[in-house]
Amino acid sequence: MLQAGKIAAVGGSIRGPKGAVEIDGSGMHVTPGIIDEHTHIAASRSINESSQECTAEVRIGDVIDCTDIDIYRQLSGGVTTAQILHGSANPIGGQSALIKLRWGYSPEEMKFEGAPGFIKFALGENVKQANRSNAGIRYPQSRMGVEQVYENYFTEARAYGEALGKGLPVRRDLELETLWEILQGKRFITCHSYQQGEINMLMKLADRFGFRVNTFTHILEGYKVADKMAAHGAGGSSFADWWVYKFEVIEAIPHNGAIMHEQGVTVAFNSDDAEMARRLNQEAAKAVLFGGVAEEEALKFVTLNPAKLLHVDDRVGSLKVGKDADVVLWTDHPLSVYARAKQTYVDGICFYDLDADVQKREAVQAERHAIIQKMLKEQQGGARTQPAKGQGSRHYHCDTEDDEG
Amino acid sequence: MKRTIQLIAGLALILFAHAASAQETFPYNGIKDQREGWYAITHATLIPQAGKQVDNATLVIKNGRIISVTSGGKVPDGAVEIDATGKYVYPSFIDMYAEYGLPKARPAGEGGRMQPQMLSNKNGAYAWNEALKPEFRAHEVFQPDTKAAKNWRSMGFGLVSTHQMDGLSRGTSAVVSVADDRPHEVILKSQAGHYLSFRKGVSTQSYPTSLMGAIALLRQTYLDADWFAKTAGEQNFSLAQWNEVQKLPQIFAVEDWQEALRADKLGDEFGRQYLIKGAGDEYQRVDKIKQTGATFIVPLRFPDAYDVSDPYDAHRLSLAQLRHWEMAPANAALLAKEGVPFVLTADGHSKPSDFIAALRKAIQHGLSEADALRALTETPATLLGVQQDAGTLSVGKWANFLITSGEIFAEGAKIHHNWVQGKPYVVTAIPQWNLQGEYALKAGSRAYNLSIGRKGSTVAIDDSTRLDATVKEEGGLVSISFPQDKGGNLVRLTGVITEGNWYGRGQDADGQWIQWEATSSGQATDDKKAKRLLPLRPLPHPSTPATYPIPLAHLVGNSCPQPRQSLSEMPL
Repeated sequence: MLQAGKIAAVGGSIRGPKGAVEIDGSGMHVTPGIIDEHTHIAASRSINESSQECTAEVRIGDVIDCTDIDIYRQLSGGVTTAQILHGSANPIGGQSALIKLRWGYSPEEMKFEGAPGFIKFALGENVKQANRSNAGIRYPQSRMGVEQVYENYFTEARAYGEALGKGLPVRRDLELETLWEILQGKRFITCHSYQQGEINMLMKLADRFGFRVNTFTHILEGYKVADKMAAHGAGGSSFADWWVYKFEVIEAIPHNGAIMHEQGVTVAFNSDDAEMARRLNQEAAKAVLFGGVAEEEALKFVTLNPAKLLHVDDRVGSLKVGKDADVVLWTDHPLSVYARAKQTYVDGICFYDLDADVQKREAVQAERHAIIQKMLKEQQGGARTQPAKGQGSRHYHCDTEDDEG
Repeated sequence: MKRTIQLIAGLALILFAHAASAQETFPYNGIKDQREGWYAITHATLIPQAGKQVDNATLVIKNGRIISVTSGGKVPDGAVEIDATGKYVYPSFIDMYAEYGLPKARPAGEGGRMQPQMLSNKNGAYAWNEALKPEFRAHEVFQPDTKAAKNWRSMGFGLVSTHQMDGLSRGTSAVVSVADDRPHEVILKSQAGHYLSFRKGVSTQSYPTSLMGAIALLRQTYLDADWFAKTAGEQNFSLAQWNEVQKLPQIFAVEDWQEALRADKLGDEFGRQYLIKGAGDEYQRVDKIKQTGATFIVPLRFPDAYDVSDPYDAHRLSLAQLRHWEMAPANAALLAKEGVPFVLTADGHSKPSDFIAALRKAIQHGLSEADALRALTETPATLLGVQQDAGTLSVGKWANFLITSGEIFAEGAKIHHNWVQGKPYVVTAIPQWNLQGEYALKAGSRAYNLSIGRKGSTVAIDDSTRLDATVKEEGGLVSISFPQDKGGNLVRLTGVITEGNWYGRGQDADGQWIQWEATSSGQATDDKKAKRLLPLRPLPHPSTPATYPIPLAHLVGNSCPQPRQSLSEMPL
């Protein structure tokens, strides 16, 4: 039972209060809303601030694009919460934004209220700019340099924080202030990572500075260092079976998630991709396929575990009384490839409905047709015209039959 | 045939009749022009400000300023009278968001094409980032540009707030008139506003590469400037000037409605209320736009219709694009309806006819003429702090006004004169004669019926054949040409216009010199009267929801069992 935006009761024979809307779920499954720990949708003219090795001062929360159609598409895949991360161009990237997919609301209204702050870190090829044509002089150029960036900035941030603490006059520096929050345990790191050596490096560095690396994301070699991650207290947010897109991921294996899970690491599967995010339930199912993770545990890879990694498991991630009414009604077993989201609720509000979607598509067609006819009349009346060029890119699929924007 | 206006002898005289110059420090070569620029515009319908009207008005100006505005007032002895019977007089327009008479922004140095550029290339103790240029002061480099000024005047503008549209902090603007004079004369206010944006412009420096980087840089700059004011940490002329310009109106240029919200939020963090130069898509979420509390500077650049004749081409357009085409002209009307304060800008228009057409289109889509006029005159004058000198036609203000052929927003109305600081500039010459009508024309041994209409002229060579004729009038002289027979050679006539008839000489189709004469035989059938077009349709229009949410959201989003709630109602 969902009431006033919260889960009011869970059970077999509960009765709603008078006036409650009854939704017949016969033959269907209900799960918590899916949480995508790593995505880059819904950001405007920004993902990377790639100009400097440390850009802790930039905030994805400043540039949320609430009109990105991917928000709606992902609701159709049962996603209700997503962490929009800065890209991986620099060792210390920008601050992340955690949003609820409240399609139709404004950027500020989409933000997950009260969620703790996160920041993106990155290791490997991208940050040392091995793959950039104009890498030139920007530091760092090697994996060794990456470590020195952290060493340098955290040393500076510690001095900054200590000066603040002593009440000394300091120039407020939003970059150092953000890093100081990490040192104080008030902000958490999601770190783009592939290779074991660097993963160990960052954990050791964190130990030296007295903080914890909250989440390693991608972490395709996590299976090699899972015990160390568990000891450090780092979570792993990975892909089920996405690899071989560059050399440094060559040692990825599909059992990675299962192995980290066995070793006691909190494991999530994320999308990092606007398309994959529509079917994260199927990604979770792959943990059953590769490594034999129990079905309920596998589902947690895309629900409760990412909620834990994001420190919002008191609010979302499971169907528990008092938690936010972020709920998905599936047409089938949620780990089945046949399952489709019938309805997706965020805070008890239905933001996606499979049947209503059909009607909306028809309405879009009707409106397009009406405006096009009006345009044609103006054109016939001698109005100036411009070539019909589309805007931006669209996602196409091999089964695309009708792809109206 | 009717003489429509009595002008003083020769417009050329007006053009050189400069008011007594304020350039008192300048030497002169020759005989000093000591005229005072004393004029009385009489018998006009005068709109001193939106919503008010003075019939049979006499507007007296002297030394560039308005001396009096009266109904039926006498022309003072010594003033040059301009009879504007049948014409309208309006305060000229003011554009708060303009770039005029300024050098093109250039990068501070050689940019890094293959190498990242970590620091500013600008010499001197300025900001670390090239995109921060609060030290740029438009008035220091402003130079009037005759060609551009003419264009502004043709659009109906008298004053603009000119700034260099480049950088995150673009520096300060100057309010200048678009008169053809020295900068000493036309700069009316220096440091009128501080302009900002989210685009780094021509800066070749790497940072910021993203919108969030631009926002972070502006945020840090507020903090740095604050620190700079309190300490003697370093010499930094950019930060010093940044602090200096904070007392001015802060004008923030954005590129879509979500950026308007972002700018407003940034302003809130530092206790600033920006004036926001919008993108013209505010209609998409006018509720959120209104909540910003900002005054908007709204462009009137509407997309042309897309060529959708090929269905596959049309397929490439998003619904948002299609809708924007339909809704953009109604944007200003909607802002007015919802009570969002706004001014209008010609930004995005380079052709005067396009701007005027867009303005009329906005009015056809529901913007009231009074709101339009206010948003082009009084409101920008007040926001720029020049309301004592401009924005309405009242005593003591600059004589910045337009003489138009009819109600200015009506289809077909023309701007005849744009007077700037008491000096007249001709946009479209006031025709000395209204030639429209029917005439009996005798040319040599033949007789014709000449018909001059609003759209063109014809000559009847016999009862069943009318051929196109060309009739031109200028300065009381007329020339007429037409084929003597269908497909034949042209007859060409030239002569003078008098109250009684027209006459002169010409050459017939064979090249023989002939005498000709034309006398009026009747009124024109299609009277040239400015007509108000009815709005195309009322707002909101049929294919748009009754409220204006974000378009795609409304269509594709929420409509499940529960009604949509606002976030504030949700117990979170």
